[in-house]
Amino acid sequence: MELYKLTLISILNRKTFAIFAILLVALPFALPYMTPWESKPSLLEPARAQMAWVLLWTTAISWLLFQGATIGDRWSSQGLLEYFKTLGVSRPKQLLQIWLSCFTVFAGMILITFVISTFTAMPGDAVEARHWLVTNLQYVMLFFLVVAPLLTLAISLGTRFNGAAAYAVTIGIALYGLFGISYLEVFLADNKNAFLNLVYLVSPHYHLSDLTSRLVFKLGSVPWGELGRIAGYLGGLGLLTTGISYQLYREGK
Amino acid sequence: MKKETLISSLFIVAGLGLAANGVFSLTSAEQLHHNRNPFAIQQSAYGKLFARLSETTVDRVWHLGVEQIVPHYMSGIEHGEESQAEISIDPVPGANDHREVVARSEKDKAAALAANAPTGLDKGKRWIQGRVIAQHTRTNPNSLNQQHLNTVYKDIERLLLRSFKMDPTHYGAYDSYHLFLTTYNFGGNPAHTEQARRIAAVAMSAVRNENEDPEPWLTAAAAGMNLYLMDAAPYMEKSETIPLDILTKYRGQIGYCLAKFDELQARSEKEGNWERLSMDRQMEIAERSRFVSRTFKQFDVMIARAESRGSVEAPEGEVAETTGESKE
Repeated sequence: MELYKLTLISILNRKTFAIFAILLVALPFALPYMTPWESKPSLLEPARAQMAWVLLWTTAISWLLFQGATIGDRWSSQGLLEYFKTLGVSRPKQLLQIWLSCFTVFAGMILITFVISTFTAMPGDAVEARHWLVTNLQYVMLFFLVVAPLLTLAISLGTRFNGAAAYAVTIGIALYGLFGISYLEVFLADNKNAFLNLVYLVSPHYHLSDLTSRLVFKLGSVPWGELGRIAGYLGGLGLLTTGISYQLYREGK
Repeated sequence: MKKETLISSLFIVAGLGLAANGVFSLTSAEQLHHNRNPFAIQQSAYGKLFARLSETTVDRVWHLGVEQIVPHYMSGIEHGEESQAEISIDPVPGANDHREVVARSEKDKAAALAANAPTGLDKGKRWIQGRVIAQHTRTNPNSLNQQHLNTVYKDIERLLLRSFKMDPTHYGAYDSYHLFLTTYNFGGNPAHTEQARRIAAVAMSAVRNENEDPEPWLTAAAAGMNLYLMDAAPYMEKSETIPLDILTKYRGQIGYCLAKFDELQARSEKEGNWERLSMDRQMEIAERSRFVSRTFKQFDVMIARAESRGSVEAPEGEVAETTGESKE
């Protein structure tokens, strides 16, 4: 686990994680007071949970994927991965250790969001409170299924190309899956073109993992059957991304 | 094939299988569609904030594109209002049309100058304001051509729609969009009237579950009034009597909205929420409430008249007044 330790210490030494961690803690409490809550104080708690999740997504896209891409690039360019190869650390193990070091820090951030969203915005009604807790757990799981494979991809692309290109490709895929597909849907509303419809079907529908509206509007948890279907789909995408990432991974440039 | 490569290939194949199965399963259950509201911003607390913030953007595009003057929030001068030019530093001479100095006695001027003597901070802020005005003052002697103007109208409609989606219960977002759609000079057309009906229905249904904030019920009442005016318009144009069922339907709907407003406003005062609003906001809401209530009272008169005569007269005078006031 030497590569894991080295990467983790490197991330901690950079300290940029601390900026995001502070924002993750402070903004969910501060920003709801910028909304017109005065005439409706019940807006505050859902707004807190909503901001906690929006910030976690922002951190994943802006910090986590960037870390993966630059670390992959740096370790590969500096010959560090070749060195670990000579020590007998195989490619899957190298990829796993780098991934784990980034995710160790990020897991703390997920925990911050989960705690803020679950325990500082919990509805008073017992039934709603149970739904709230379950929804947050479901959200964590779906979020993980989207973000974890994308991090693997960012690392692998970083080892093969440079950090900027690896980051651009990964956030491009993430943003397309979260937001871009809705524009394609509008375009396809009155368009029967088979090719474009196929593009739509094979697009990564990451937006399915966004359960924010279930929290903000207190819609209750996702039915388990439905959750299984979404998790199966996102898990499949995750396996595919991980498999491709391994093929892209290179020890040296 | 190496073991590792085999495993990654298995990942790819298994992932493809799972994802394909998921896509078909989700497509057949109509679950694949994007909800078009990422992170639930629309209609959330932040949606309400964005709806209010976008008023400034709409205002800027309107003044720069349609009226072709510097927006009032930048210049600090309202329509028909004289500037503070005589007691302040004139940032850009000729930047404002209302800048003629009102004749005053020298004594009054001196008193005004003494009372409003700008501090260093004021001077600094006005200097920056002057640069902002210069940045946006039109120097092109030609105005926008019709095609360009149509593009601006389209932009404004897009902004108004976005703002309405952010918070359909916000009076400013709903009513300015409604007015834009139904005022022909600003880009309205018969197709837009249908859109106006739709947004009124959306605004009313968005308010339905509101049990804390009284203000959205005034938006619903305004939407009800707009729907009534649209339903009554064909009869008024032909100078025919408005059917009693239209009058009673809207009296019921608008009356319910106003009753809910009164109930929630009383509760808001009791719980201390009302006190948190600024005096300006309180006065604005109270004034709007008075206006809607005054208009609403005419339904009783019209219905009583209709019932006593067995037919209903078109309330043209009242409608004209209502439309005129709501445009302000």
